[in-house]
Amino acid sequence: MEKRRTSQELEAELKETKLRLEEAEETLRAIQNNEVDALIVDGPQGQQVFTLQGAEQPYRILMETMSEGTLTVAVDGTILYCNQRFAEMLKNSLNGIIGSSFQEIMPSGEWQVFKALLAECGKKGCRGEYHLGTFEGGQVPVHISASPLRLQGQEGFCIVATDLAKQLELEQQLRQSQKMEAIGTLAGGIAHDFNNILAAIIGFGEMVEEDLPPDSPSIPRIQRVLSAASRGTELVRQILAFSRKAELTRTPLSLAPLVKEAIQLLRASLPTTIEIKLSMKAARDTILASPSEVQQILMNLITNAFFAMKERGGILGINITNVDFKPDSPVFDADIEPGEYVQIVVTDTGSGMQPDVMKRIFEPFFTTKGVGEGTGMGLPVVYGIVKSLHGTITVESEPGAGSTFRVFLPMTRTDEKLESSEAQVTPKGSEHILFVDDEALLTEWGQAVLERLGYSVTALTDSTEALNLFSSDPSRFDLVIADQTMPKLTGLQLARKLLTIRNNIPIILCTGHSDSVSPEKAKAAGIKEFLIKPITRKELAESIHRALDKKTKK
Amino acid sequence: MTKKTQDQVEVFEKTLTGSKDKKYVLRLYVAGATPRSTEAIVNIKKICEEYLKGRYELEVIDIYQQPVLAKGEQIIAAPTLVKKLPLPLRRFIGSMYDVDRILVGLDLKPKE
Repeated sequence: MEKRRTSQELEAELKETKLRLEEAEETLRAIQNNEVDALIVDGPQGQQVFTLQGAEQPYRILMETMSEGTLTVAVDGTILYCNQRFAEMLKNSLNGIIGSSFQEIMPSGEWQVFKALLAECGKKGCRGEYHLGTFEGGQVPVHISASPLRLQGQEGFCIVATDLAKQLELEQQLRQSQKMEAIGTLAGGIAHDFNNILAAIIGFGEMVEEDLPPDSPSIPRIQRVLSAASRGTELVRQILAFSRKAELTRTPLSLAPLVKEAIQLLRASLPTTIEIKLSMKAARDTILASPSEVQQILMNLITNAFFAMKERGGILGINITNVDFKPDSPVFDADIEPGEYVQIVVTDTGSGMQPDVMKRIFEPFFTTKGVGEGTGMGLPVVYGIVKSLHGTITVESEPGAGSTFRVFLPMTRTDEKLESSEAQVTPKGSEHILFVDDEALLTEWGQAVLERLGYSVTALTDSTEALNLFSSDPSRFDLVIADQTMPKLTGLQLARKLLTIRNNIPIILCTGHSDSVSPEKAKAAGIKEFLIKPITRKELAESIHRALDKKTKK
Repeated sequence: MTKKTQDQVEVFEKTLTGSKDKKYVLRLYVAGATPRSTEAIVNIKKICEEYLKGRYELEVIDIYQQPVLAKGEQIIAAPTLVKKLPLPLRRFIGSMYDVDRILVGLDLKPKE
């Protein structure tokens, strides 16, 4: 049975019906008066919008599909229309933007400037760079291009907004890489000179050591000289490492012994309030790197973790695990190739980092440490090394909750020969060697060292003179050792000329530091061996042996 | 003052007092950047700022981009303004150029 309705309910229903009737009348009146420009019709294909000006459709599609933000704005700043891209830029919905004022989304200072610009915006339009506030409270840098528009008798503007965030990020990266390059060039120049100096110290030092009687009290002293010079050599290589220009010999090596060595080395300097937890769960941990590169990564990360826990102590965690990035796995770094990686995780329970600090930690010379405590080069060096090893590094941190650094390094095949430090006998020989270096001190050293190894040597400081001598009797020499950086003819140019005269002459190219030549480039030119200065007697002897062996095998 | 005039003043005052503190939730359905739609945005924005400053929420919805919303509110033409709050719900169709008509509809002005 139908419930009896109260008079109040009936009154409300009547009122509602009257309102609907009024609305219907108003709709008809609005359509008659041309106040409506779109009708929504429910049809078999769902809801369809029919505009009374179908001509706008192509422009609408164009605007909707543009990768730039587009909008129309009334003269008072009211946003009349915007496309989806613009809404995405502001991390807002279309409803949240259309109808709001431009003033609300632009910082007040910039709005005043922009308003003045719009006021003077001529037929040709106007443009400038501004910031727009996102719904989440952030800001997005944009390039705005505005053109005057007449909207049904009212003045307005058509605006195209381009998101500059990506561009600014790229510019920042470019500046960063230019800065790194400049430092690299500077370091490279210094390294070349230093390497020549160190080569002479090590070379002659080794000779002195060899000449001394076994019971001489000077032996430990000269060994100290050699050890200090070796440290100097390592330092030069480290300076070059961060700019990724280091010419290091990379061999397959296991991480575990290097990690243990680094911990042993640092343990003594860490206070007892810091506990070290080491976990090595990687079944395979062989990577292609030089030991000094791995040491630098570990030492820098561990030292930073220690610094973060200096005040209150804590736990320093080092974990080594295997990670397999499959081609379809969501790899977080676009630069990283799918494959097997060794993951080094260094965690601390220290002070953590603020987001603004975290953003800048890989920038050269950026440091939060006090004067004398840090150079701001530690993490840039780590970053440079990791990238040059085709790996990647990530960081997670929260203020007060510690930091976690993850380094992913590509695993290498373990069947390659592992780095061995076994002492080998220095090979000797009796062949005739042409030694060319523009540094008189080094030709003197080269001659003396090679003669001691049993070779007969012709040492020259002029590369053209060397070429002439070789041309006059190409079969006179069994091997040529040339420095790369020389006036007139560089080592590489000389090598090419020598090989055109005699294509089977073994050549060893030495370099202190040079951008113009790499081991690959040297090999492509037909050079047998490539050595980085300073060269020890043993390295030189082994290299000669290999170069001559290759020749005899032919 | 005649009784009729006095009654009208009372109604006017009552309307003003009644709507003084009420928060308005409005939704304007537009069809992209078509002329009437842009007109409607400008007009309703002006009305809101003048008569409802600080106590209104205006949401502008493009029926092209969100047709589902339009269906839910039985919108048959654009531009259409929907007064969702205060109740009763009211719809206004057109470019909102007739300010008096809108003010009456929004209970911001007594009906003559």
